[in-house]
Amino acid sequence: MTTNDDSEPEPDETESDDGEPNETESDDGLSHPTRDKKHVRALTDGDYADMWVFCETQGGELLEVSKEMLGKARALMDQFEEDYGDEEDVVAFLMGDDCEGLAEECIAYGADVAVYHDDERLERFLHKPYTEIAAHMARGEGTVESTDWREYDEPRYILFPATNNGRDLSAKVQAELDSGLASDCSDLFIEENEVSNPVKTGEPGVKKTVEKVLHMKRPDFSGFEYSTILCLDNPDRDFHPQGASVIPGSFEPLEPDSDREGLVVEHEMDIPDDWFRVEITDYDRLEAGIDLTGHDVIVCLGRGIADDPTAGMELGLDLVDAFEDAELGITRGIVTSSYQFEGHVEAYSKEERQIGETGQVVAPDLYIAAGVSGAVQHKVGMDESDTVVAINTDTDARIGDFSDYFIEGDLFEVLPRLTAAVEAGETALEPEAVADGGDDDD
Amino acid sequence: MRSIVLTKGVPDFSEGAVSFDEDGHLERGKTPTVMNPNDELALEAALQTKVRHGGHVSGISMGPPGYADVLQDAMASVYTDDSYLLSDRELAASDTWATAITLSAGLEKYDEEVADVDIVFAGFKTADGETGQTGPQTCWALDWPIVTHVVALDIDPEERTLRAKRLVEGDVDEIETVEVPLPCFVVTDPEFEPTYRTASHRLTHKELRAETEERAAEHDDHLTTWDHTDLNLDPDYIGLDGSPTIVSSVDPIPKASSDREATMLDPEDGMGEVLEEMQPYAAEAGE
Amino acid sequence: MTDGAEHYEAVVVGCGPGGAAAAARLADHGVETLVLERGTEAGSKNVSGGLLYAEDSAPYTLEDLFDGVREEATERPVTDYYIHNVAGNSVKTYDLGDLHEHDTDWCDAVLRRQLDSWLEKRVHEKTSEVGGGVLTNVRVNGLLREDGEIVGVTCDELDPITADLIVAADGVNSELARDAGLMDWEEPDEWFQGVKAVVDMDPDAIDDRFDIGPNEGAAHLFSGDLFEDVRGGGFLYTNEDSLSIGTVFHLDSLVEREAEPHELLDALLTHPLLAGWFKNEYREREYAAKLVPDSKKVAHREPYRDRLVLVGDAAGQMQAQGPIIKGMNHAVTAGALAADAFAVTRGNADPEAAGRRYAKLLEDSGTMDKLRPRRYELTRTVGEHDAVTNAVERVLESRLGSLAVGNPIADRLLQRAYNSPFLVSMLPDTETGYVSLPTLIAEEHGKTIYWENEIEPPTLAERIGDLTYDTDVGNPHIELRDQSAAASGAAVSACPVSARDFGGGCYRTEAVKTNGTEETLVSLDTQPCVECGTCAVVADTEWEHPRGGKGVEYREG
Ligand SMILES: Cc1cc2nc3c(=O)[nH]c(=O)nc-3n(C[C@H](O)[C@H](O)[C@H](O)COP(=O)(O)OP(=O)(O)OC[C@H]3O[C@@H](n4cnc5c(N)ncnc54)[C@H](O)[C@@H]3O)c2cc1C
Ligand SMILES: Cc1cc2nc3c(=O)[nH]c(=O)nc-3n(C[C@H](O)[C@H](O)[C@H](O)COP(=O)(O)OP(=O)(O)OC[C@H]3O[C@@H](n4cnc5c(N)ncnc54)[C@H](O)[C@@H]3O)c2cc1C
Ligand code: SF4
Repeated sequence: MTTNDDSEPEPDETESDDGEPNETESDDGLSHPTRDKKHVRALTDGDYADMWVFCETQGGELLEVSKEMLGKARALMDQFEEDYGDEEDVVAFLMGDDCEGLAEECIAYGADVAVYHDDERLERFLHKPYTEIAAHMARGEGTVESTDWREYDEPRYILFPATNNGRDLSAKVQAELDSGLASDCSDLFIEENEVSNPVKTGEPGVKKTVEKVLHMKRPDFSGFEYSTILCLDNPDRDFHPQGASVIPGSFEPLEPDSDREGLVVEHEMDIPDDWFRVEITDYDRLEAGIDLTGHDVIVCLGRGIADDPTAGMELGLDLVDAFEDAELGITRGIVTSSYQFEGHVEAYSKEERQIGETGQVVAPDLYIAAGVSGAVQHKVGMDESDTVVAINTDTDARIGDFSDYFIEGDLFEVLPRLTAAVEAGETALEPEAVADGGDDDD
Repeated sequence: MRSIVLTKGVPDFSEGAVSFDEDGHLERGKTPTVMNPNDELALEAALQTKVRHGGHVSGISMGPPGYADVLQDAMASVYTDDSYLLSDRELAASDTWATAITLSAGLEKYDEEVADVDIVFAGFKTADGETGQTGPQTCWALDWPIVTHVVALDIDPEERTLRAKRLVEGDVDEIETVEVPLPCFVVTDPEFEPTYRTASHRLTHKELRAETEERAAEHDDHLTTWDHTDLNLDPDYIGLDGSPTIVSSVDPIPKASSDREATMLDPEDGMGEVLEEMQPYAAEAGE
Repeated sequence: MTDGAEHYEAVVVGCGPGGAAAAARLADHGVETLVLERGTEAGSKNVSGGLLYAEDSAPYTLEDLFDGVREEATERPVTDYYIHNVAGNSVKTYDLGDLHEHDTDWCDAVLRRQLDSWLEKRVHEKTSEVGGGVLTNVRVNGLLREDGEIVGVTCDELDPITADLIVAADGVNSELARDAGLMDWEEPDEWFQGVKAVVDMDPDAIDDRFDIGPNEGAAHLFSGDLFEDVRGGGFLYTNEDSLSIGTVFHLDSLVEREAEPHELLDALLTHPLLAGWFKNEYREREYAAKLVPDSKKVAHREPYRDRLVLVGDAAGQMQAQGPIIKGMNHAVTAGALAADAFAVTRGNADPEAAGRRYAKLLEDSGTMDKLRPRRYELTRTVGEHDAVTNAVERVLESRLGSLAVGNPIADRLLQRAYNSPFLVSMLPDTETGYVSLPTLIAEEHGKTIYWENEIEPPTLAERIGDLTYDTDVGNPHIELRDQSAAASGAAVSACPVSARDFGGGCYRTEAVKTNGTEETLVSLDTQPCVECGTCAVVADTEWEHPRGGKGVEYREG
């Protein structure tokens, strides 16, 4: 789509490659610019506080990412208090047709305040009403009862999930609040920042230190670079809340604590029918599918399990279980085999777990390939992994060309030993000792 | 049907084209600019509308004068009837808010002075910024109904409604069917696919595509450029001055090395090293 | 069911030479013609060895229909033509110039991606003038019938289409010919399997090493013992800047010998005879394979049903007699004749009028007699009879036999015999013609070659890795009906992208334990498939082409 000169530190491209017209342009002080003004809602010297978190729901449940953001927001605001001595809140906000219970759940997941809006027409996400309501909430508009818990103009920070709907909402709400946004962030922290950009400081050559700046890190340039984005006030136009959307899976949720105390507030507002010009006539859930991406560890099995496919699969699954966050992948060779798997492992032999060119592309920290020959079509699905460990009886297997460790051995022997060692690993720091540690005895 | 498609130039990230300096930063000067790959789907969606219902497709872009090439590219590579470029120095270094304001001003001017617009199409994220914001924000400024993440669409010209299937991400993904009155704003999903189930539509598609290169060769004849005065925009609220966000730093993302040297291990005695790599990921004991 | 369906006067399925000729000629007659091609571009699915003939006696040549085709879309004309009889390192070469020139107006080497995509553009220009055009990425998946009568086609990508004439020019694995019940996929002895490598070579090197000028080309054929007694032979043709090198074998013989097609190709590539041309440099651009029908056995004498006519390989019109392989030229003739037949019977109430007329034109033009020579039908009954063959073999192996072949007069006679179209067309399809006789010739008359051929052809895994696929994930186009080794095991070696002890191909066998008993089962992965059609004949499968644009994409062909 358009722009992102926001991700571009150097001032502009126009300057370098255009010619005369601009010279005359700058003299043209006579135009009467109006169009854009109608969109300017920014304040100057406003009061800002709290970190707001939009908690997206699906089918009457909080999305995982909503809980993850609450956990992150909690940690950030606890740190904030430590750094600046001010206690500011984590405020969850959400809407739907019946979400008081979900608002309470938000408290359990780390929010201090949860603001919700109920309306049966809001069961599913719709751009217009969701945007209007969110902006209305953020500005503290509405009845006295629903807003007297706060004393600021707009939130200091605001987080949205980087899902299809969450990202759209973030864009529209931030536009409506006349502020900026970094989308698809994978890390957030709050720190001071020394700014020299004249647009932000007001004078060229002057540096200014801004406190409490949300630093938003995001993969950029088609994944080639990480940018850190800041949303900073101009001298005569505030850009608050500082907004970010957050990639699902980037942070850990807190253990829910139903005893946590917090304030649940129902938001009130008249919602005209005119906001419902888009009508949802139907929806279907897609097959859940297996997502092999985003895990710490992938254990991948290949046709090396041929001698006893069911046992091989079990051994692979045992190793998966020994890790905190691991999944089982397979090669195409397994998907298309005629192996007769027993019922309890058969589900793991399907295309949905295939890794490679025509399967999923994964890049875990640790990739363990057992009985995998390493065909090019497989390689492209795992080559970006940090550490690759191959287990293979054949030292000439191609996988050796792109492994960090090559264990020459029979997977039926090697896998159980790895599993035992990893399982015992917590107690014994010396791995050698672990391998022949106590487990065998019981 | 009158459609207008937002397009943008991005660095060509394809292998061989893209250039990085020693620190791993993108070298814009050495990397050619191409049409944002996701915009191609927006163009395809507009073309589908034209094939099925007739009408006119315009391309619009905000950027430096060089973006005329991008509009030309859009005309040649998929299809547009003509191009509109919003360009001048004041617009440089806009972030998404400023871009959205400018584009919406362009679209309003088009709607008022050129022809009534039925559908505005935009692609999803750009290959360089990847914000995914411009479509929704531009639409916010227009205050039109919007459908995003569209994977398939169909129009009923009599009823003046558009029906679309859109992809909703959640813990489980969903496909939603929505109906919107025209005029409206459509953002295509990377999964969008035009569908032509009849031979005559496919032949029309092919015929239109065949015209494009010839027309694109004379692109200047089909190009209109508007600057900020044409659009009646105040320089304080566009370009860099009108942008809330700045980029404070850019760090290359380390890529896993592709030339690895495997350490050969014998399971009988040499697995210590591997186990050390594995321990940090072990499940908590007692599970 | 056909109500509201789109209608075209003619629908042509497939845009190879047969389809292109039919469509061009239909457009010439002003018939509104729609051409449906499953490849992303015509030629992206097609393979031939590469000699396109224009026969003096043929009613149509490709150049008659497409002005400029030779300048713009073909490779080098064949100016030198040889056959090499091989026995170990001993080679006897005959000049086949006379045979080659017999009834030949011109003959150019071609690469099918280049040729067919060029034809596609011309066909689109012609047909769009009469209200039709060419659509690629569309796979026709069956015939549309109304009250049991064929009235149109159904497609994966489009709603059903009706037509007054349906031309099935969909090649050797014609799904339409089978749907109509006109052809089957049963007998391996009715087919050949062709396998080919396109090898990069600088134009100057070609001129130099083949001793030809820039506008000249060479054709070399190979027979004898370099193919493990599998019946068939090899070829090498020069293109502008590459060589087409391949093999064509009787499918029944491949199956019987459990030969690996890629190894047979490698045997040719690494033979010392080729060392002088390669100079130890070898860069393979593409590996490809396709079935080839044997017109002597399968060319249909009445290739029509209702409004449907079959042309080209779909009708089995591929003439392979002795070393000559002529398929493209006959497909062109048949396509054009089918169009002419429709033009004269247009408006006739009888839906089969065009088909009948077309069959008559095939007969009257002498085409059918080339495809199914009566002489062959006569000799075959005895020539291929086992007892007789064995007797001939024994004679050849006896001292007397070699003596007969070995004598100097015999040498001259042999050269003449090879150059006689009449004798060649009578060569029975037994090992005698393909292996024993050439081997013997080489042993008796041959020169020993002392060159070292040190090139290393790519492995099968590399060949597959170098091909371009657009895999239709989750939608395999071939399904194994019977996993037993007895029913489908032959495909493991016969499939050109599979091999015994190779897990990365389409077919492989696995020893599977079920409740204590071990069983050998065959499994299939269609992803590396090059859509040659072999397993449709030699294994028990449900065989279809992939959906439009999916599957393998040849860049050379
Ligand atoms: C177009 C196309 C797309 C493809 N896409 C994919 C894809 O997405 N993903 C994919 O995986 N493949 C894909 N393939 C298939 C790929 O080419 C290989 O065939 C496949 O990856 C091989 O699987 P494998 O390694 O399990 O089997 P094999 O190649 O058979 O390898 C088995 C390995 O196990 C070893 N072994 C045997 N016994 C033992 C033992 N007891 N202990 C330890 N090791 C043992 C052997 O030494 C061997 O190295 C594709 C192919 C094509 C043509
Ligand atoms: C190795 C080898 C060497 C050969 N050497 C020679 C030679 O030297 N000289 C010679 O004349 N012949 C040679 N032949 C034979 C020659 O290639 C064929 O006879 C010729 O291509 C037949 O032309 P055709 O138009 O009938 O079919 P094809 O050329 O096969 O064209 C069929 C077309 O139909 C399309 N199609 C198929 N099914 C569908 C469907 N369901 N829907 C839509 N489209 C479909 C295909 O994609 C293809 O484009 C050789 C063949 C091989 C394999
Ligand atoms: S799977 Fe069948 S059609 Fe495909 S390449 Fe092998 S033999 Fe040919």
